[in-house]
Amino acid sequence: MEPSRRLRIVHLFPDVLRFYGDGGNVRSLVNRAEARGFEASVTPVDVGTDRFPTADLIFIGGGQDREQVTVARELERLGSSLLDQVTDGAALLAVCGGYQNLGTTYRTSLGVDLACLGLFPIATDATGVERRLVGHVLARLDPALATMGAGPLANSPTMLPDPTVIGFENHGGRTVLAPGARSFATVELGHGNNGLDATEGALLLPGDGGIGGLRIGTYLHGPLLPRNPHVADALIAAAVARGGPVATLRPLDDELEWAAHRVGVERMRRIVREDRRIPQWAHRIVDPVRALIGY
Amino acid sequence: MGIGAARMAVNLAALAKHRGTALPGLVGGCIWPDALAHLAGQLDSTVLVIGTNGKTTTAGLISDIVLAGDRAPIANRSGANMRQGILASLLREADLHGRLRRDGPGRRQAVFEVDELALEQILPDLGPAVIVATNLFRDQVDRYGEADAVVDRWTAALAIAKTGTVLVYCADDPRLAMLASGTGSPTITFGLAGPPMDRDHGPDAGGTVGDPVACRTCGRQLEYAWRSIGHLGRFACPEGHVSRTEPDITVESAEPAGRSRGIRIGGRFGEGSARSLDDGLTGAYNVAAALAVGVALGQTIGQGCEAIEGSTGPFGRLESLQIDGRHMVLALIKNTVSLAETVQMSSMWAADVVLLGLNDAPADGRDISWIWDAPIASLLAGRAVVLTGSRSTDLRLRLKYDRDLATSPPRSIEQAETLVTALDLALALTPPGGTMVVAATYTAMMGLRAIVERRGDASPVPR
Repeated sequence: MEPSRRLRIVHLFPDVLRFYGDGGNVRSLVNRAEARGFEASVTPVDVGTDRFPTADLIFIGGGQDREQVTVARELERLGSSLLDQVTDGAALLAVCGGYQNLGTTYRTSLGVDLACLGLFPIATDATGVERRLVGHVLARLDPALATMGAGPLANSPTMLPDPTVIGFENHGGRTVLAPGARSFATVELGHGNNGLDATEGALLLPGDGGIGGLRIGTYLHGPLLPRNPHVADALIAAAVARGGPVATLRPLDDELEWAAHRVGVERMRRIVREDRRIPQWAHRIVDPVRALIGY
Repeated sequence: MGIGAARMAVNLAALAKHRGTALPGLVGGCIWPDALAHLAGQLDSTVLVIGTNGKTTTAGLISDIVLAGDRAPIANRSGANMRQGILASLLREADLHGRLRRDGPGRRQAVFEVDELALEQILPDLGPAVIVATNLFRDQVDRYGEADAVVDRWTAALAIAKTGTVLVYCADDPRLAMLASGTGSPTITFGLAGPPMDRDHGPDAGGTVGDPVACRTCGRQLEYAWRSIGHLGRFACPEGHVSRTEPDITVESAEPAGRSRGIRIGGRFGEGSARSLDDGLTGAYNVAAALAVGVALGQTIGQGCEAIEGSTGPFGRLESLQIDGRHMVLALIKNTVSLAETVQMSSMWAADVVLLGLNDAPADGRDISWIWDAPIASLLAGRAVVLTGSRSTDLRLRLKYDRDLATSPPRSIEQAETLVTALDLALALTPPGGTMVVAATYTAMMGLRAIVERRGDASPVPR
């Protein structure tokens, strides 16, 4: 089957889920699809929308606790349409709050269990959290994503065979993957799903569990896609394939994207190296001074 | 002993010409833990300024207002707004016995700007007469967490404020209105007289700049009749739990188009006219906040307006300088809203060159995602753009993906490795008599400002 020349992006609840910069993900998808000659469109689905538009790629971002309660209520209404579309081959990217909302269970910081769709095999608990997981993340992308189909990642040979993904995480909830479930990436620096098992996000390949669409759930902001163009391309390639064979996308001039990616990787490694040089007890003195002089 | 040692730390820091004005406070607080309570107890009245944007500017205006008739208030004007910075400002005014110096007549007053997370640590010791909340935008989420979390912390802090502390807040900010409704404190509010005239102010205006704000009672999203900056505006909960109340002190542009710095003050405490320190709504809000504090301290609107006549803004906050025969405007950017307001005001600046500095040190906020949320095309289109800072490559990428810049691009885009080369490049690109706009995050601004100062063309950083 000839892949579609259209990319219909549906942005879920941008009116309430628009944590720091997640809109940049949509811009990345549109620009990169158009550069390949696809006709890209973005349809926002605001709270209160009664019909779920047809989608090739669905994006849901992050928000605050109160907004996530609103989203859970909306998903009770629109969830079955969302599930149908992803089953039918639409790709899905869920970041932070949206990732938590689309898991199997989600208990908010107030101890409320929110209704979840189960698109990701994850359980998230945000109760009794004393410390949010905040900071830069450097992780290794799951090789299955790198080699998916003909491999859209073939466009970035410098990243193979061990491609990195970078971002900034900021979440209270601790997420645990179901046994045997695949993570989006393996944490090298940072916290990831829970700060304990080195998993970051969740990844379900087209066809997993009888669902045709590629599903990526992650805690990585930054925004994620501009600095990780290989992930953007994987989503676009899977979305236009609609569950069929994933074709390679034409390479783009990604010099700037990879430059920003490298800056991220280098800065993270440097920050961690410096932190390791400072003994734990000295942080109480060093950190405020560093904050003052801006270093 | 501890008192003297803490005071000595101030002298040593001054000798070492240490710019970070909080260091002596850090040392002093370690060797004399009760220093803050002891020194603050000697003050006749204290004003605390909290909020995301405009703290430093508003605190400066308040200092000018409380100055009238008295000696200059003790202040942390260079932005050292954590507990140790406030302590350092008090230590500088103390003698070796731990007494605030009282040479000459007048009451000893203090005006402190306070970091979002420091309020709860200092409130019990300071016992302020007035707390003024300017606004609460999404900012440095890596440090503060969600904006709702800041509201929770402030609510807890205000619960332990001494009886009679007046809470002055912006009536247009629903987060602050919900905060105020949870306290028993007497309040005085300020806000716009009506919808702003300098921008599209419809219910959906602002795009991704304004945060979604939910009613804290029912969780439903607030609805707006009009918007001003970000989530500020005329708001109401659809179920009626909370809505904007008419401000006690109103402010509006003296000219219908909003294109002048003249502003008109109205409301139930009387009328007046003043000049804003900047070309935008932020300046009008800051003046109204300062006048409201003046009212809370027993002054009239007229006295307040007179006191701030001729006030100058703090360094790096929309400061205007002359350098090498070129005009330079410095704008501090630190979050989506401050970037969006800088872009909004830039339509009045006729800039030839724009220098953007983006650092991601802790004092800047390590998460720089906010650069993606503000529309910046109108600031850059057709102009020479110089990018610098530790994350300038991210800025460059942000510009590449901007759809508006794709149709009307900048004249040129260059990246400079260091602040010095960036400044030199930007100056070289600006024709004599021309204007360059510098928009930079905190540490980048401090760095650029220091370079300009070293070259001898600007007034020194206030201490």
